Amino acid sequence: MRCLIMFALLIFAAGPLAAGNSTAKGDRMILATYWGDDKVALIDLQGDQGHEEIWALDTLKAVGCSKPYDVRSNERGDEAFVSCSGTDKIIVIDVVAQQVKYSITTGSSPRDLVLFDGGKKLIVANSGNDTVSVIDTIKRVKLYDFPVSSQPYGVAVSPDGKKAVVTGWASGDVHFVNLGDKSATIVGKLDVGMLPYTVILPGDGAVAYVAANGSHHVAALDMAKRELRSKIKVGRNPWSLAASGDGKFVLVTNNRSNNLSMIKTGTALPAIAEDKNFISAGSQLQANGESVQRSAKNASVSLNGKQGVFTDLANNQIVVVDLESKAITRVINVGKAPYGIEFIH
Amino acid sequence: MSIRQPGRNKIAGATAILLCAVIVACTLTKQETAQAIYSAGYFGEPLAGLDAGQRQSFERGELLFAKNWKEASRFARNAVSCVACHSVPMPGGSGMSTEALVATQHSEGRTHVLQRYNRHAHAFETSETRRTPPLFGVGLLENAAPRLPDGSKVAIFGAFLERNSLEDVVASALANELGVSSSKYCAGTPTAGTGLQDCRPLISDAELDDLVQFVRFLAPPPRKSQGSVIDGMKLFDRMRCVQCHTPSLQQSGGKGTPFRGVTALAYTDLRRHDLGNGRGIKTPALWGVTSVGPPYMHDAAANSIEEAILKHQGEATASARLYRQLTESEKELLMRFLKSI
Repeated sequence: MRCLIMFALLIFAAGPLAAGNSTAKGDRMILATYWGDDKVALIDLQGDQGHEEIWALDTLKAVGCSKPYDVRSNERGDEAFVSCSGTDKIIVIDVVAQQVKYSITTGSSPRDLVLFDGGKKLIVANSGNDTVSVIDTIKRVKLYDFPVSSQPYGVAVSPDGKKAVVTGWASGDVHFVNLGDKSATIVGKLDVGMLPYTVILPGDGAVAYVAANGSHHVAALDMAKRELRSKIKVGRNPWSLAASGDGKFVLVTNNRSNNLSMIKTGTALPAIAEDKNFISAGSQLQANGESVQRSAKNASVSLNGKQGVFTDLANNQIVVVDLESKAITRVINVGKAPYGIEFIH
Repeated sequence: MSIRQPGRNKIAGATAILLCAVIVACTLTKQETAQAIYSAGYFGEPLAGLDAGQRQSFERGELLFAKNWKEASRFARNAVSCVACHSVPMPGGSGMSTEALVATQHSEGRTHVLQRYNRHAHAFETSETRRTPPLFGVGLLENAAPRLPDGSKVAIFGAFLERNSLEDVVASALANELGVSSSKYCAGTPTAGTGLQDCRPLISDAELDDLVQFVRFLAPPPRKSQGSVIDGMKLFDRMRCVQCHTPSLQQSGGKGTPFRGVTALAYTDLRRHDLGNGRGIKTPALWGVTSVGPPYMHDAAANSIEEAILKHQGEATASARLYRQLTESEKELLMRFLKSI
């Protein structure tokens, strides 16, 4: 199995150079967390129906990780970083060896996390004790914590690794942070709407997008001026934001309106384009004959920007969407309460 | 020697084909049909089966639950919003911040909440700390409350079972914790000692209704598969925990379709028991217990599940003793079970 995974990763990495190879790494394999099962899985979106899951690591509890939440991979795709929301640590998984390499203690109940500085550092929001941790992934140590209130959840970092934005969902605001080597400084706060959970900084990082779950809009923030630029109306209760690799659009999961939104970003323009498209999340027929609408929770966009994947907590599924036709192309039954999801780059 | 008749052969063949077709169809259906729903909701999500009006009321109430009530007097409150305390792991949950720990004083059979900045409130001689209770599934508990002969419901709310109405609980919490009074609160509750000199409603009746509906329709904590924790379940039973932490409650009534026929797997009998303090305290629901703490227990006295178990005295002394007799592997099995409910 290890050989198969290595072979697959090598083929995908060499994709663009090999004639006739239809998928490059970053468009086919995804990592996912199953919050309800305490597992992390590697999934092949083009695997045989019913056999997409390459592996599902169930040894997390043995290393003290419960309720795996967010997941991010490094650039090579051979390491997965997972926040253990049921405890106070993140774990790092060797994707090829299928085992936990090490863990690092963070604050309580870590949630969204982001790799930055070329993958050498990681930042994670600890919703349980109102702190944010910055970690050195090379030395495998926590560099420092800094306080953010209240209920920090989402986090994003500028391309130069010097600025961060952290959401405080219980206080309805975001915090602008200057990141240093040994400490961080909060340089501003901004009200963005009710229950802001997630935030991203796509493209050149000039504009931050925040999903204000309770206000049903995505707030676009000018990072230089630390001002609210616009509120982009999306579906009901937007939860997560996933940017395309080129930063030209953002996929939004509308958790309670059974759809997703696509927002075009105008990062090079003075004003943010408010064009948006809806993508139906569909429904799933249950064994009892009841049709259950999907509740899109978390999402990721493929490297080529042509596919999106989202997790559906209502039906325990991962759903693949063609972003050009906006049609669902694949539905994968997975473990319980799938949350974190990420295309391996 | 039997003679094979062509007609029967055709019937047999057709039957075989039909049987194969049924098998294939069932297989395809099984593949297309997702696994059973893990839970009717998620932390902070609404119960399944709400009608449009109930869902809209839930969503309006959710915003009120997250609202920062800056207009309330600083001296009359302990926090500025419901989510300031009810936030772990999502809106409607418990709380671990110092803001969530509030002093209370028990007298005349009732519990009085003391406001941090109100010196009059702190005139009481004795007080103790209370931890924020999680609200997930409280509507199911409300509808499982037994009824008295006169038809009214037994009081199931409050650490000492002082209230039988969710509306009363929400109105009191708004007033005593946030300094936000409603017409319901102003009409029936004494203001002495609370710092509220002039009871003027800051929340409308309609808003209060929406807030109550949000709390009422919060889904219970999601459950994990019980298949791998049966041994732990047996230990839970063997330790006599089930005598108070009753695994399931049937709905005794319904305020709408989401409750009808639903069994609340809450692990509480909704009764008071003396744990050694001479006063008795309500059995808390254990569903989702490992997601809403530490700390644990009504007074945040326990920093771990084990510590909470060992603090069981009085009527539960035998259970604590039986826990001490467990092997390490048995304790691990018990913990796995508690993490699954």
